[in-house]
Amino acid sequence: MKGITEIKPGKRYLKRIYLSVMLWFTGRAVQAAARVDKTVGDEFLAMPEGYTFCLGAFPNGPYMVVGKDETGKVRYLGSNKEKQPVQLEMGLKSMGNLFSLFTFQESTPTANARDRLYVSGDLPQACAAVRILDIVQVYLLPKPVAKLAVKRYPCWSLKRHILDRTIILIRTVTGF
Amino acid sequence: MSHFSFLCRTKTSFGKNALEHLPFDLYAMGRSKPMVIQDKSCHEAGMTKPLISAFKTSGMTLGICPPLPETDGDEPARIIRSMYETYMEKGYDALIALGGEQAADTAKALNIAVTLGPEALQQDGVVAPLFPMVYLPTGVKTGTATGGRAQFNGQTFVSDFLAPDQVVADPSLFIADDRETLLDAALTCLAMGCEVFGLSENPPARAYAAAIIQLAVHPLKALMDSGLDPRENLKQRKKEEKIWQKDLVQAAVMTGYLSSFPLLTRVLGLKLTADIRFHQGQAMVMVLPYILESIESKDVGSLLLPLAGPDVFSQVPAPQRPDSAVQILRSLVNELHLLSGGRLPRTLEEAGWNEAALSAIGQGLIKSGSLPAGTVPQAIEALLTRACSGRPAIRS
Repeated sequence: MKGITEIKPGKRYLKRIYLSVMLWFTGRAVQAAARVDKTVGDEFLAMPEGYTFCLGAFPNGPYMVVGKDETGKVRYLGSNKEKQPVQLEMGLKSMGNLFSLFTFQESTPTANARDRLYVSGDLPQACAAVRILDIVQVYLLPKPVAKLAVKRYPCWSLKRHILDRTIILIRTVTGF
Repeated sequence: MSHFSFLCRTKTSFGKNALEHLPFDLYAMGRSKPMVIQDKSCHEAGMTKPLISAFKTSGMTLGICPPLPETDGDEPARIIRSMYETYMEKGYDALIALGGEQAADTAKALNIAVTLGPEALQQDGVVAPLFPMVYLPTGVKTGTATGGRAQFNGQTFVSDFLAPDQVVADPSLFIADDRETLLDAALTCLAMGCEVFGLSENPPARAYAAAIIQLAVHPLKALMDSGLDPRENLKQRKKEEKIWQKDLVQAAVMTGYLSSFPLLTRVLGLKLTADIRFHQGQAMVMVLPYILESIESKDVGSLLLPLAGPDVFSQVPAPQRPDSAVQILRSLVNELHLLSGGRLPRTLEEAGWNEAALSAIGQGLIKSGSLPAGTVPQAIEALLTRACSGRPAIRS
């Protein structure tokens, strides 16, 4: 047929860089929160040893991989989900959807309600991972922004809001 | 308990950014190289841009065909042959129809050819499942695009396998429809929804029909309140039309799912608008009260609930509900006549028909056997005669 146009897939470099940075930061914050926050620690405690989950965008990422090692420590395992076996894959159906999530145009529950999220793995663990991400977002983001990202802003103690948040932010940046 | 069967094999995605899910859904169907068929209006409005943007990071290659010309004679067969060769040569594995009924029908015909072989287009039935096909509506004029029907080269194909696997209605793809088109779509959806809800004994179909009526009634009322041809406040007008269009696209898409049902309103609507040019939706709503009066069904009264809402429904005693529902539809036609300054007819006589011509239509339908099963042939002529003069049936 004359005049058929073939459109080859391309890349969105700026969006990819932004999302990679955000996922890197969130991944390291999950690692820090698991050591500082008791609720996050308990969620990971309930997960089996060596359990790994990832969050990213279909089909080519970017991703963040977080896992629990043999000693029970939670670690951010980088952005390559092919490096290790992943028991739970949570993803947004496109990079645009992930961008909406990480620019706080849509909260996680809204994205889920709009059928943008897919899960490959255990559903109870996926719910636990979403709860962990919600807590981490509250730690990382200022209140007006965090309100956009979570369904309901939690009522926490002053210690959790100030002391724990500071420790988590320091640990996220330094990687301890 | 009545016996029924219901099949709607189409996944419907509606809303902002719904288009962004399409690559994932195609991947879930095991497809990676779709071919896009678009009509002329989509091409002129640049509607492939949002589609290309949605596929940008998907890793999939899109093949976009040039717009379909408005053709007669042997031209559709030549276009399909050319598309078929390209599809096979370049290794496409799915079809996306973008636009109205013409794009959808061409995609369905091409799907028959690529799945079952080109010779299948010479046969009548579609006997096996086809390759995945996605339909992207760009306005309210979807017709039977979402149903299991296709018109190609003067031939009609009817099969459940022809229904699209997915319909994605993303407002970023919508081309603004004028008020006449919105009104016609609202009336078509309302008429088909009312007939299925009032006369069908198929509970899932009635659930779809109730949703269609509710989706069509709200924009129809708003459209009538705002006037058919307001000349002031263009910005406000466009904003309103955009909101109504979203509801009506949903209603039109769902109405297409019910197009496999044999409906008297549609059969008569098509016949009545074939020779005399007035809107099909208007014709369908005009004959609908007479159809509801003619065909005995215990569910006509329940039509009052989606039509008028729960308050009115609970106020009216059960025996009066059928008459109230029919009266609402008659008042709607009369009000449209008033709003349009007499341009929209109230009766078939005002539309240019006479009793003799309508009687011929009735007899033609009876002879051709195109009437839905269970329709009493004598009732057709009687209802057309009454619709001609606008005389209601006398109830005992």
